[in-house]
Amino acid sequence: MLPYGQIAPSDMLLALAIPAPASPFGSDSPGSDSQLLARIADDRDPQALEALYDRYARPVYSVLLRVTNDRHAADELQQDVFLKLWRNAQAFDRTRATALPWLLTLARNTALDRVRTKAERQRRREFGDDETSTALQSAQHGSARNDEAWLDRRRLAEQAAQALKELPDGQRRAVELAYFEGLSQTEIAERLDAPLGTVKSWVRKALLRLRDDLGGAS
Amino acid sequence: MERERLQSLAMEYALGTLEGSEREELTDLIEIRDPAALEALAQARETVAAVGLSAPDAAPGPEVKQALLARIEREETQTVFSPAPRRPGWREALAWALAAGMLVFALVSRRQVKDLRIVTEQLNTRQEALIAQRDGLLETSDRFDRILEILSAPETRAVSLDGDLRPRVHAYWNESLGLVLAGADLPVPAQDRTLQLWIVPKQGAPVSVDVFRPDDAGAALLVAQSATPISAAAALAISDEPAGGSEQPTTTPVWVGPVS
Repeated sequence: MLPYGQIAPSDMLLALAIPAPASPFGSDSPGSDSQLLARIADDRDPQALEALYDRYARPVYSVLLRVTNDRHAADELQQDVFLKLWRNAQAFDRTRATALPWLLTLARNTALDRVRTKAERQRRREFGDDETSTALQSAQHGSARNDEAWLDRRRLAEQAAQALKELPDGQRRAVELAYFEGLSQTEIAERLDAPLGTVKSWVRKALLRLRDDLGGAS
Repeated sequence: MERERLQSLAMEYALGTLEGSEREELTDLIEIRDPAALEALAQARETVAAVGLSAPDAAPGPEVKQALLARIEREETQTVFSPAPRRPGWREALAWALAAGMLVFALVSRRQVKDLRIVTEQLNTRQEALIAQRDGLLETSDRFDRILEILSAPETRAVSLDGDLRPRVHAYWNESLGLVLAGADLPVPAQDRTLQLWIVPKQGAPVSVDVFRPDDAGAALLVAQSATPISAAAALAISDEPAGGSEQPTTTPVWVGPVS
């Protein structure tokens, strides 16, 4: 097994070459993301990056903050994620409707890489929930956004949150530990004090249910 | 593979929890670019990414965006103009201030002006050294980012190269991202010799990847790109060659590792 073999920032490079299937993220207005990415890749246009940043800064930042529990780290990683977008825009499959899944995958993997160090883990244990809630609360700026795309994303976010909430407790916790903390199934079993076979079953059932629930979200 | 099972495996893969033989089964399909597996993986990534949307809504401060745009501007400037142009900073401001001060001192003492000019030159020299040092660190950082990307990609293939009475050398090969070669306690070749990494294809002559020299401690870390598909490779090999490398191996390889 390779180091960090299960979580790969570069997974996206493979995914980007895949024709777009039906997406729970729905579809943007025709070509908008892909046009911006083309301007970045072909013209090195910083305004195009700025437009994508304005469009997706919040969901990306939300994942970074949820994974790291650290506002300063999230600030830094937010730049790293969009810098990778700037450097690798040419790798994005322009037939795909939206860059958001790509960015969220990139954000998650970048953040998990950061918190995998022992020191980070130790610090998170020590400051754990208090800092999490403080960081999250302080970050939840109340800027009044009501543009259509943002509302669509919030609607999908609420559906995702609701879909997770409706999962049985074990299934939900297993998926959250895997997604936000990057734990293996063995680690999840230890954390939840559950048999490995049960955890595997939880994860599998949860993912299939999320697929069914979110597949019709668009 | 049954469609439902394929989708289930793909989602676990995207979540990062797929392990063991099931993971190998899926990565084999991905490596041969099986269309059903790739489609299942694309759908799975979107489903799993939607989990991220359940994170509490949070927004970065405006300074984050400003810092990002500044980094991009800096990066582009360095890309267009190499080496990087000197940018106004506090050292340069200090140098200018000192230069202005020299004019004042010129009215007082030519000797003092001369001394200040020397100081200014020293500051400029120091500034150029710091800029060069910064550029070197940025380059190193980019190199290690690339190594991390290669090592962490699931489709990266690990290859161990063995040789008689010598430490083992490890290679990590990702067809799209590149190849990392790492070794420690390696014998250092003579000054007029170098080590050369080869891809030995299943058919045809060896293809040179790159030349490299371990440092004085015997450590080597090579990052290279190859156009040869992994599926066409039978082995990786390292031979001792004249400085600058050879078109084809001229000695028996010192290390060889099969690409299984």
